[in-house]
Amino acid sequence: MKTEKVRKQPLGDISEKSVVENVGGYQIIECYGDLQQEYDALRSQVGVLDYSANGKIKITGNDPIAFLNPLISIDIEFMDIERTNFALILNEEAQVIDLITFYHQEDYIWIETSPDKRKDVYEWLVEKNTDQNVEIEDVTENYAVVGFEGPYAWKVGQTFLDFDISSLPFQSFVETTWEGEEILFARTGVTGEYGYKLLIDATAGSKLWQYVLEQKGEEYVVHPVGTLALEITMLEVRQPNIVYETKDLNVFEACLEWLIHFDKEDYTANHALQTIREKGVDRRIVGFCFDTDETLEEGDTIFVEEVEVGKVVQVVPSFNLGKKLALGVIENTFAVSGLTLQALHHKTDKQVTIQTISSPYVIPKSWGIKII
Amino acid sequence: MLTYEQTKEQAQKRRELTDRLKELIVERLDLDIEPELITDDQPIFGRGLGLDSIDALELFVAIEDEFNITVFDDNIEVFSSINKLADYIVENQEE
Repeated sequence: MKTEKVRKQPLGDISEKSVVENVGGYQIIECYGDLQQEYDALRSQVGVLDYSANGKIKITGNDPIAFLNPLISIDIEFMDIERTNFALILNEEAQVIDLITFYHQEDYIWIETSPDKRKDVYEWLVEKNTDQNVEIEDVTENYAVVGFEGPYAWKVGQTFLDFDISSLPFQSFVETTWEGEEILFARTGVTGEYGYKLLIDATAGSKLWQYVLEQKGEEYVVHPVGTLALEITMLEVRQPNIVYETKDLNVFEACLEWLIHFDKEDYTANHALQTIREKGVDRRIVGFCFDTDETLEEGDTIFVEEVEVGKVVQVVPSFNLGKKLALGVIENTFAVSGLTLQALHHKTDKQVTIQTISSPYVIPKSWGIKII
Repeated sequence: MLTYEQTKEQAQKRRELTDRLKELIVERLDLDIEPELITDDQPIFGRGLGLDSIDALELFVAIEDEFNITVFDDNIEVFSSINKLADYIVENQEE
């Protein structure tokens, strides 16, 4: 019988005010109780994130890079060890399976998937392992992942390292130990602020979570953050969120070209990407904002005069912007920043004035803070 | 509120500016990428287009040559995306 090592409960405490969803067998906290407090932690202090529900897939064996390189959207043939990056996994029709984070070590590649795409990514990799040169293992249940982001996250991160944290470049990682546990410590993030992520044995996840929460300093607090605040901060810097941005849209419509190395010859999605590109797209995703008193929802119509030109894709409250921030998929002709358009909230039949705007919509505080 | 045709014309002007900026970056920095594959809102530095501080200095010169607009090196926000760069040029041309 398999030992049940899985931690399907979140690392953080659930209160009466918490909003919780179930994804892939895991409870994920959308909000601990105060969305603005969680947002402020990420943008001004340190926000702690439980990524344990993310899928974790380990590839070992004969040359994992040679196996994975044709299957992801960026070229990693010459990627250094102890480096991490984002990439799309597209199927042969160039449809997005997932946006993954992967970590390259000398003898393995560790892949981190979205919580609900874990099975899809794993099965797709296994299907492609036709000559059995590598071993692919779903190790999701064996590990917890704790992230923390914010302008002062580097101060918390420093407590895990015996060298100057400023020498750890963005998108790199080290293997080290903490409290006798082996950890993978990565500098990575999705909010534009300083960001770090730690992988640890699942049994030590709660201890690590508690430790990070206790690391407040004179200038900052450390606060648990749910997925809703994270999604707001991601959108504010146009960090791709495929839950919204590739639903019914191809990678060109979603403006994800920058995550694809088109000159990679052996990429499995090349043919489909070329076909879509030659055909062209007639709509693109654009960011826009509108007054906080107004309401728009996914699927509402965007128009110019009385002509429909697009649909609302995602809407969040942006506390620092003082507006509601949104994405829309808009006809190419009008898919630019700097326009004033109209949208219709279908439920109330109310017309809302919107402005298309330029990313990043909020400038991260970390851009003005140096690690010292 | 602008009419359909006026909004279309405004959008066209904006598109011409962002397209020119993409061409300029590729030409001046000799990047091995087709300008049309650069998106308006992607990061220019780091993991976006992969540019660094040396490239930024070259871009300061390129923007001044092309648009007669000075970008100061403490204004990092300007180079955070093609759209932000376009906003800066539009704002400073209008002054």
